Amino acid sequence: MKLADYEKLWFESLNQNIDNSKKLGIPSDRLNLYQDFVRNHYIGALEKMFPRIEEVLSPNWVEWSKQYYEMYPPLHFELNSLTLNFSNFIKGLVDKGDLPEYIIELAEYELGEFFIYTSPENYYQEITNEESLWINKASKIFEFQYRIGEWVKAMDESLMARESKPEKVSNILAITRDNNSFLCVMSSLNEIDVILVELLRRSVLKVDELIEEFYSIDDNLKQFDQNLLKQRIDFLKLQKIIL
Amino acid sequence: MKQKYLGIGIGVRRAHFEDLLADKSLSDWFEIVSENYLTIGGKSRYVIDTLAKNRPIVAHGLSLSLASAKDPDKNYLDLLKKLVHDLDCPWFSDHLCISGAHSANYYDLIPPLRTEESLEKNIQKINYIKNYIQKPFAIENISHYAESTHNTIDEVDYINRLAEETDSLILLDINNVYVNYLNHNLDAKDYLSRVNADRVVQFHLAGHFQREDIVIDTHGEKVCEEVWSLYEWYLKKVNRPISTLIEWDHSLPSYNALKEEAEIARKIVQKLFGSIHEIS
Ligand SMILES: [Fe+2]
Repeated sequence: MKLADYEKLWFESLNQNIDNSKKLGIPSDRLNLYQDFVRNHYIGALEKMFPRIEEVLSPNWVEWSKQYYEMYPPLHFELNSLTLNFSNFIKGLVDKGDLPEYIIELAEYELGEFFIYTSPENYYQEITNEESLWINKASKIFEFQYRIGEWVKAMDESLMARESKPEKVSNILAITRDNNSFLCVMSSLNEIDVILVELLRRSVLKVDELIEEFYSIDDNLKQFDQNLLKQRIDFLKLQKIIL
Repeated sequence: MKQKYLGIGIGVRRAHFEDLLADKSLSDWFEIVSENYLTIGGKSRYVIDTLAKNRPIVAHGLSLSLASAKDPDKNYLDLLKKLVHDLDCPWFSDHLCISGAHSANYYDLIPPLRTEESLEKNIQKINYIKNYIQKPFAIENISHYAESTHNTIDEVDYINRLAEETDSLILLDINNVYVNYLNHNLDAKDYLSRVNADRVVQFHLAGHFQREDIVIDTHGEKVCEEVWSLYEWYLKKVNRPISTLIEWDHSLPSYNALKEEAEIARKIVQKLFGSIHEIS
C-alpha cells in the first residue's frame, strides 16, 4: 500500500466517519477506538472553552457538540482554534429557533475570555516609561444586548440557577488580563471609556495628551467635565485596561 | 551523538503552575507540550520562561506528523523553531505517527504505515524538519491499538533505520513498549534490546489503564511495577544513565505525588550509577 492511500483512508475514517478498517488492514473495533479518541479530544476542548454554555445547554450539549464536530472538523494544529467557528454554529441554532438569542453573546464572551487569558501579549517585562499611558493589548471590548457580565458572575458564584436568563439591556463590557496576576478582570464601560481606549489603541500618550486628543474629536465632547474625564482614566487604569 | 544526561524530569502541566513557581527544589529538568506554548502567552509563558532560567526544558510536540507524507506546516515550524531556540532546548521531540492529513488535525497518534516507500518519505520529512529547526531531534515510539496488515517492516527496525538515516535521537517510551506488549503480544525485552541504544537520549515513563478488552495508554495512572523493572533492566543493560521523564496527561496527581514518583526513578539511577553529580 502507498503511504498517500493509507493516509487518505485514515482521513476518511476519522473526519468523515467512513469504516475503512478492511482497506487499512486493521480490526474495525480498533478503528472505532481511534474515531472515538479523535472526537473526544475535540469535544473535550470545546467543553474547556465553553464551560458555561455546556452547563446551560446540557443535556443537549453532547449532541450539539458532535454536530459541530461534523460541520467543522479540526483543521489547525492548535486544538483551541477549533472553537473559532463556534459562535457561527450557535448563531445557526439560534436562527432556527433551537436556542435563545443570548447564547450567541455568551459564546462570544467565553471565547473572548479564553483568548484574553492566553493572549501572547506579555507586558510583564516590557513597560519602562511609566509616565505614558499604554493600552493593555490583552483586553477586549464587547457591545452586548444582554447583561452577560453580571449573569456570568452570578453563575460562577452559584448565585443563579442555570435556567435563568440574562436581562436584555444594551451594555459595554471589557475583559482584561491583569499582567501581574494573569487573571481576567471584567469591567462595565461607558461610551467615554470606549473613546479613550480607542485613542490609546492608536498611540501611546501621556495623560495631558490624551485629554487634548479627546477634546479635539468634536464640539460635543468639549462639554465633558475634565475632572470626570480624569476619573474615567483612573478607572481604566484601576481595571488594568490602561497600563 | 551523545547528549548530556539531564537527570529526572517531570512534565509541566497547568494544574501545577503555582507549585512550580513556589518550589525551591525543582526537578532536574522539564518537558513541555510544544503546542501549548506556540502562540499562548500569559501565565503559561511566564511559568516556562521562569523555569527555563534555572533548568533545561525540552519541547515535546504532537503535530509534526512524522509518518505522514504531508509537508510540515510552515507556520507551525516557524513557531516551533522560535520556541525551541527561545528556551534553548537541548533537543526537541515528536512521535512516529500520523497526527494529521489532508489539512486535518487529529490531536491523536495514528499508527504509521511501515513500508520501504513510507520510510523513504519519513526520512525526507525528518531531514527537512531537522534542517529547519537546527536543534537535535528525538523520535518517540508510540503505543498503538492497531497493526496494519500492510506493514512490511518491523517496528524497531523502522525506528532504528529512521534515526540512523536522519541522524536523529530516540525518545524511548518504555510504557508504550509495555502497552504494545500487552495489546499485541510483543516481547517487550526483545523490543527494547533491539533499539539502537546509542541513539536513546531520553525515556518516557507513564501509566496506562487496563480495560476489559484492551490496555489504553492514558498517562493518567502511576508507572506500573513492570515498567519500573523494564526501566531498571534496560539501564543495567546499556550501563549508562539516560534522561528520564515522568509523563502524566490526565487525572494529574498532586505536585508532591508527581515528584515522589520521579524520586523512584532517581533511586534506581543512583543505585546503578551513583548520584547525578558524580555522573556529570
Ligand atoms: Fe510518551
